[in-house]
Amino acid sequence: MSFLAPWAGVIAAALTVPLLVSLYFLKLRRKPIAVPSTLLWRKSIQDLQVNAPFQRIRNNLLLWLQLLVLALLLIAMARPTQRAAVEPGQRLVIAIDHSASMNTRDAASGQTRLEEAKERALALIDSFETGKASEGGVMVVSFAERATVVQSFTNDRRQLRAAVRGIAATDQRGRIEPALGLISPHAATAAADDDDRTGLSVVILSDGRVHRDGGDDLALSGATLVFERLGTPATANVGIVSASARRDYENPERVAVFARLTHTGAAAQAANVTLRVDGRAVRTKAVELPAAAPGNSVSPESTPVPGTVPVPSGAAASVGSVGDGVVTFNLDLTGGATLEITHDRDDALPVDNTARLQLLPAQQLRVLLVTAGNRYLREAIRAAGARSVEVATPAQFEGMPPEAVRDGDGGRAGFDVVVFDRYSPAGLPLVGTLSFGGTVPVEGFTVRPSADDAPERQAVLTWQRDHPLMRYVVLDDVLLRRPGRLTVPADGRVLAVGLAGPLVAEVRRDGLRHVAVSFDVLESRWPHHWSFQVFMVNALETLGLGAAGGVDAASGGGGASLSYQTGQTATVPVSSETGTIGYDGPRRLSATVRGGRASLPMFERVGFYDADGDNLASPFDRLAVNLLDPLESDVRPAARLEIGSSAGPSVAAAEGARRREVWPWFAWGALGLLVVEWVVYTQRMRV
Amino acid sequence: MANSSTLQPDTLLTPEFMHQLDRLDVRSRKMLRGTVQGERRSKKRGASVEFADYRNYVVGDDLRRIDWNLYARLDKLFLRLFMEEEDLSVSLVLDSTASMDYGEPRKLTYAKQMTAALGYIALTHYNRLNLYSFTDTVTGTAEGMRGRRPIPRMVDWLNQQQPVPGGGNLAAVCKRLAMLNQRPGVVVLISDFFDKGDLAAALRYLAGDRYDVYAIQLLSPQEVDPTKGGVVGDLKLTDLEDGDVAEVSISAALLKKYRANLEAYCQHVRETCTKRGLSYMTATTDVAVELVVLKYLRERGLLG
Repeated sequence: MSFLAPWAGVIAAALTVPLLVSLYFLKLRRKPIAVPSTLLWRKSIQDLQVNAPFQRIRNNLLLWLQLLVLALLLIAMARPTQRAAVEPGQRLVIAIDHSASMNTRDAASGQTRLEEAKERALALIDSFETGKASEGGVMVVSFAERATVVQSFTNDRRQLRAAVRGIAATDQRGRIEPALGLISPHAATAAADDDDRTGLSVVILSDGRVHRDGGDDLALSGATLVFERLGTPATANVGIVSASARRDYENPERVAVFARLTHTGAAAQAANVTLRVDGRAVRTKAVELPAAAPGNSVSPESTPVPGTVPVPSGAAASVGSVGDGVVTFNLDLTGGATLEITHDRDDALPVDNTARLQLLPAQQLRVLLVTAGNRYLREAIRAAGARSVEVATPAQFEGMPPEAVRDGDGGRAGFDVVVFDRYSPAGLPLVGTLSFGGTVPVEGFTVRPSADDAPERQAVLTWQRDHPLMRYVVLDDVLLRRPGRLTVPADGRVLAVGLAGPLVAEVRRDGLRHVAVSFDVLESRWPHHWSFQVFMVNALETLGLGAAGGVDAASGGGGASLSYQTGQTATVPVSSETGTIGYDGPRRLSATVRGGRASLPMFERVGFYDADGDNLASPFDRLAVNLLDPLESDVRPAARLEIGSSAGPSVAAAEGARRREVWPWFAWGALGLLVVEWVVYTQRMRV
Repeated sequence: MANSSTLQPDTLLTPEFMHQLDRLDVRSRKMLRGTVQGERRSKKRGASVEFADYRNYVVGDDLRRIDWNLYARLDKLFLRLFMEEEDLSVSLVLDSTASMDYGEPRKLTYAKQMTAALGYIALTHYNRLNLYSFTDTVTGTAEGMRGRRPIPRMVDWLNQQQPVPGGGNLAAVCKRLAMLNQRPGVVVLISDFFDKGDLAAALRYLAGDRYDVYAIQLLSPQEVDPTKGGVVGDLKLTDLEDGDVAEVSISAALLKKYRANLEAYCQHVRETCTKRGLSYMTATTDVAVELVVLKYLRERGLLG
């Protein structure tokens, strides 16, 4: 609270307070009366006999009440103001982050950040003047992986409070775009309206640990953004940000379990990492985590943090790098198993202390290569760990029924992946496909020959490094000769881009991935580059497991294992064609089976989800869900949340100078106390 | 209590009241030694007609008291003893300090009426009556009255008693009384007991076997409820005796406190008297004197 006219109040106080107190010092003019003895009166009022012109000040309730009334009036006179989240007359949107990092328990009161955010939201709702009919009211939005309008614009405080209290914690990533997407139509309406009184204020209650999907600038024109930062900058957290298990290509029963830990504390930290197999601890390794650097460097390269821009200096914490360490366990496991990787540091955010993986039984993929003859590719597939590679000509392939390709016939086992070399099949196969110089028949997914005027040699300009297919793939030195022009449907995803357009793209149909590469591998230097083999390994693992049951390889399972991240959805194969399935876990999940598959809702909490019935085959009878997000595990709150550089300074996280005068409250308070003082006086003087 | 007094403030006794008083006598709880023969039973054996006891004859006894009939039967000499009857000394002590000049009716007038009634009773029964008035010391005395003849003198003396300005000093008064009145007897102390000194120390002089003391505390209705006396508002209260000033703002809380203090003070006086073996009673001046004398003092055992 601050004052607009503090000196007026001080001067008035200097004049009136001594006056009031002196009135209590002065004696009354009293009527003389004779009594037989003052003995009893003196006993009744021991201190009435005063010979001095002033009497000793007594602890008088009336004096205190009058002083309080005077104090309230003086404060009102000094024109107190309160920082208002919202200009009077504006509409307010409260966006509450309920992502995983908001579960950090680092508030002074022992609350989590989400609980604190909810309290602040309730305070905002209380301070918002909802009484006026001309105002648009308050809207409450919660966001994590997705954003939800938990309460649309209303003036009903009871509804708003219930909506805020109803926001539950999740272990998902925080993404700001969906929330802004929900808010922007209202902002646009507010901007279009010339009347200032219907402006829109957006208060984002978050720790600033939010993901930005693309590089696109986000702007909310016409809205005033306030970022209320939650969390303590010094909060230390040790989190497992990546975990995978891989089987050795030569020796499939040998499993390498890999975990990466990050540490945000200012001091170096040692942690013991324990690996449990089916609940039994089998290995413990110590890992040294260096101190996190509170500098200007942005978070690790693999996970750029576009939403946060550090402030070079100032009271707020700046985001620095984290201290990280890697731990690897090697063990022999032939069959499937449940792996749990846990560290023993008791920190503010418990959800990232454990990573869970479902290790798949040792198996290698069966791949069908459809080619007119490409020995290079066949050897590459074989080297990528495929159990068997069968080669078919395009004509032979067209002769196979699609079901036979998937399930096998006549004693021949089905295929997990089909690789097309310079051939576009007539029908969409029922397994995942990888096409070089061609595409599967999906609407809008084609490869056309290179334009005549296109340069003969082209390099790869950029690629999606975080996509599971492109993980550890480096295309810097790869030269291509006349790559085809790849068109990608709207729901497709471009994985690599060259001068002439997309080079590698992925579309998903019926839970299956179909990847197309726009050029012939033999027309490039890629096969000579080590990254080609990495790409093939990634592709076969991702596509093969996808064929096995819609496993999202983006979960980071590492090929030999299955796990999901919060915020993902899973499609699982079910033995029955119809019905429903259910999973018991931190949250109850259920889904309807359609065509032998069931799509589960988005995972909200980490943990194991165990299937109810027995119509789910291993490994889908138990789903492992992890956070595994470096940005969420770095619980140091971001100093600034920058929403769109183009929006200018009005969008910055500056705390606005909006102030609301609150002197009427004090005036009313003084009036109320005056009434109380009058009642007390009359009570006393009544004989 | 009904204000049924037939006594006017300027009248001490009326014939009807005196007629009622004739039937009463002053009683003492103690058997006190008198000076001359009277109507009171004495501890001494004496010459009354009432037989008391026998005792063995010893040489030198009065031969007239030997019971010769007994000697004839037992052949031993016994003396017959008779009860002795003596007079009773009754001292009435009247407070004439300024504080008694207060109330409606005035406490001093009420005290005079009560003294006149008690004195009348004492004189009609041939008791020895002493009257004392006091402020800070004993200011007036009328001693040695006996029989009906001094009644006008008693009334004259009472009429002469006026409130005297100045503070009281009960301790000095009691000490002086004990020195003046050395004869055993009944002492009736009529006062408001508004004394700023040590009450227990004062009453110590009257305690003991010598006196049978009755302390009668007089209060006016205006003292019991100050609002009846116009004590309302912001006031400067002046003590009638010593001119002490107390400034008060009358409020319900203060009045409540005052009443509690008054009750506590009366209780203090009562306890002090009881501890010293004194009889205590309180009377407010709105109760008729006749009622107090004929009923309450009889109940207390002073009259009978």
